[in-house]
Amino acid sequence: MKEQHQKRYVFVIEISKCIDCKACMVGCMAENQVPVEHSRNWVHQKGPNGVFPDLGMSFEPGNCMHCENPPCERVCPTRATYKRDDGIVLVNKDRCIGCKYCMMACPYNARYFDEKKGVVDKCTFCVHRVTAGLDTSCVHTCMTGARHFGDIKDSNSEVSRLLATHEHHVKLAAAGSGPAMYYIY
Amino acid sequence: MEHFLIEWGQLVVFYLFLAGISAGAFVTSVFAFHVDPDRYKNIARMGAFIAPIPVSIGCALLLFDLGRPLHFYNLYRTLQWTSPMSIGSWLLAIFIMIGAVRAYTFFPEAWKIVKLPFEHRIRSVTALTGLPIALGVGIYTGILLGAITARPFWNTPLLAELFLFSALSTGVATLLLICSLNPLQGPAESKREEHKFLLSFDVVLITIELFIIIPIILHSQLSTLSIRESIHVILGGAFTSLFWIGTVLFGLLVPLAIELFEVFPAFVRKVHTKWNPVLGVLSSLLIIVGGYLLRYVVTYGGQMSGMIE
Repeated sequence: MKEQHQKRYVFVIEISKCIDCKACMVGCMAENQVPVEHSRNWVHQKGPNGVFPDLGMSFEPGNCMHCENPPCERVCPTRATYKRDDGIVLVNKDRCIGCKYCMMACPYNARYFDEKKGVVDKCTFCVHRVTAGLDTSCVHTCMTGARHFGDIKDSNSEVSRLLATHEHHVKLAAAGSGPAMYYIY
Repeated sequence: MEHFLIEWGQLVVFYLFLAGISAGAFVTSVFAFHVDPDRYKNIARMGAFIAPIPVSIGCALLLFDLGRPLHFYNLYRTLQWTSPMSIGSWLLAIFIMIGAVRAYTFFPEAWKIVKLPFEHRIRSVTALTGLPIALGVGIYTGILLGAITARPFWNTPLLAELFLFSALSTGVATLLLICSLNPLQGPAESKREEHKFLLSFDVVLITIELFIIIPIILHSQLSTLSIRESIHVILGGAFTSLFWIGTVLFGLLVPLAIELFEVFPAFVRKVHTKWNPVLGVLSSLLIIVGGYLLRYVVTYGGQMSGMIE
C-alpha cells in the first residue's frame, strides 16, 4: 500500500532568471480577477548597485509567502484567515469583516483591501488550479522559468531538488513567520 | 524607500483615544468611590456617568472603519486568544455593559425608570468586576499595536504601558475638565478636595508616561536596524515636531507643570490646593489633545514602518 503523505506546498524563485517582465502579475490578475488597482504578487527591483561601469541589478518576484506560522492568521479576530494542512493560507470571505488587522501583521505587505467586497484578499496559491492538478498561474506564465512551486515533503519534486542543490534564503527570517517561499540567487 | 499605505486612519485613532478616556474615567471613578465615597462622591458619580459614553462612540466609529460593518457579529462568534483584537472586542462589549449598569446606579432618583434591587451591592460589584475590565480596555489598545512584529515602530511591550497610563491620564483630565467647567453643587472645601485628588493622581500618571517614553527612545537607538529606522519618524522624520512639541511638551510637560504648581504647595506646606478653573480647563485640555496626538503619531507612524532585511 502506498503511503499517503501530507503535502506542503512551497514556492522556489530563481532570482537570476527574473527579467522583470511582470507577466506573473498580469497572469495572476487575469486568473484571479484581481481589481486593477491591486496586485497579489510583485517584482521588486534591487539596485542598481555599484559604480559605472561595474553595475548590477536584480529582480525579486514575490507574493503571499504562505508562512508556516502566519502572523496574519494569529491576529485574525474572526478566524477568517486560516492555514490548510498543505500549508496554503486562505481568507474565508464569509467570516472576514475587513478590519485590516492582518494587513498590519503581514511583514511582507502581501495583503490588500478589496474596497468593493469590503474584505481583505491575497494570493490563494491558485488553490483552484493546484487542486485540479495544474500549476499556479504565476508559475505557468513565467516565461524564463524563474518561478517554481511544488510539494517540499516529496523529495523527488522539482522544488525539493532545487533546494537540495542550491543555496537558498527566505525573506525577513527575523519575523519568525517561516515563509514558504525560497529564493535562490 | 517602500511605499506605505495608511489603512488605519483617523477613525481608528479617535477610537483608541475615546476608549482610553472611558477606561480612565471608570478607573478614576472606582478609586474615588473606594477611597472616600463621601468626600469624592462627585468624582465617583461623574466618572461613572462618563465611562460608557466615549467608548460607545468609539466603537461606532470602529464599525464604520470595517470593510463590512454589518458582519461585525463575526467577532462574537469566536474568542481567539492569540488575537488582541478578538480579546479586545470582548472586553469592550463587557466594559460597556458594566459601565452602563454602574452609571445607572448613580442616576438621580427622579431619572430612574426601573428601580434596581440591592443598588449598593450592584454599585460595588460593578466596580470590582469593572476595574480589571477597564484596565484591560486601557492596556489592550497598546497590545493591539505592540504585538505586531511587522511594524517595528509599534513592536515594543512599553507601548501597552504608555497607552494604559495615557488612557488613565486622559480619563482623569476629562473629569478635571468637567469639574472645572461645571463647578458642581457643593461647598468650596469639597471642590478643593476633588481638585486635589484629580491633580495628585494625574501628576503620578504623567510622570509615569514620561518615564515610559524615555526608555522607548533610548532602547530604539540600541535595537535592531528595523526599529532604529522606524523611530526616525519622530526623530527627524514626518512626526518629529508633532510628537515632541505636541505630545511631549504641550501634552505632558506643560500640564504637568501647571498641575504641580497647583497641587505641590499643598503637599509640602499646610496650604490649600489652588483652585483655579482656568488652569484646570487649560491643563486638562492640553492633556486630552496630547493624548489624541500620541495615538495619532503612533497609529500613523507604525504603518509607515516596516521590517528591513
